[in-house]
Amino acid sequence: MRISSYAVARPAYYDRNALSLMVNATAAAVAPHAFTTRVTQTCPAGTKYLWEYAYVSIERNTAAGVSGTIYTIDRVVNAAATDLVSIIATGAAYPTVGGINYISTACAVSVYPGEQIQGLTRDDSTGGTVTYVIGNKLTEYSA
Amino acid sequence: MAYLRPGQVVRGDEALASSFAIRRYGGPTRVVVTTRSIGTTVSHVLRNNPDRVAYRIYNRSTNSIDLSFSSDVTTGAGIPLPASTGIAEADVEIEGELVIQEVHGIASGAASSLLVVEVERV
Repeated sequence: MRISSYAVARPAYYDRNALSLMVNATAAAVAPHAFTTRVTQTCPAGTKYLWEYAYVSIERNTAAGVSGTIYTIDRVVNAAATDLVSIIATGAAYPTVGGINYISTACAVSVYPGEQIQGLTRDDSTGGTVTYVIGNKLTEYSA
Repeated sequence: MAYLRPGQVVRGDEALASSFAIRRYGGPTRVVVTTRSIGTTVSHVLRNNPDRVAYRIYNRSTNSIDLSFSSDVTTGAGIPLPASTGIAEADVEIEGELVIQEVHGIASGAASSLLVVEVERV
């Protein structure tokens, strides 16, 4: 007796109930602060994310008294919240009013159920305000 | 002394497939299509049939099914027929007299449907 199967290959991820997600945050004219989470996105059970594009930018709106390091971080935290990896980040002093610094990258980061994407900002300056923009493009699909 | 019956000779006015079957199987054949419902206890998928020349069994259920030529088959220990997509087949030209034997089956879930297609000599 011969055994065979007419099973078809599993569809690619983008054909498995795919959903396009934009995980964005803007914090406009913000005074100096400690690490502050601006946006989060947790991968739900039964799905996965493909993190395709990340973008962070800062623009100094008003001058600082003492210019300090400004951080904008896009990172993924594991499901147990015990470890993390920064995918993209800025970290430098930007004393010039009107100056814009941005970084973007295409990426192919797999995010699994329970893992969380986080966008954070921090400004070590004294005085002055900065506008932060965090942008992410993900594809959610059936795990 | 072997007898040559009229049905074993190609007359020339049959359909192409019929004349092919007569030559291949020594006489005309017919196709029998049935559905079996197999449960979690052993039951027949096919009965012994000395006139059968070929068969194909399709597992249309969402449960896995184990096949065997004996009635003591247990789940996970027989010839595996995967859920939803499994096909088991036998032809006298390949499997010889195995195609005549009865086939037993046991499923991992109740009321598992099998589509059975047999070709038998008439």
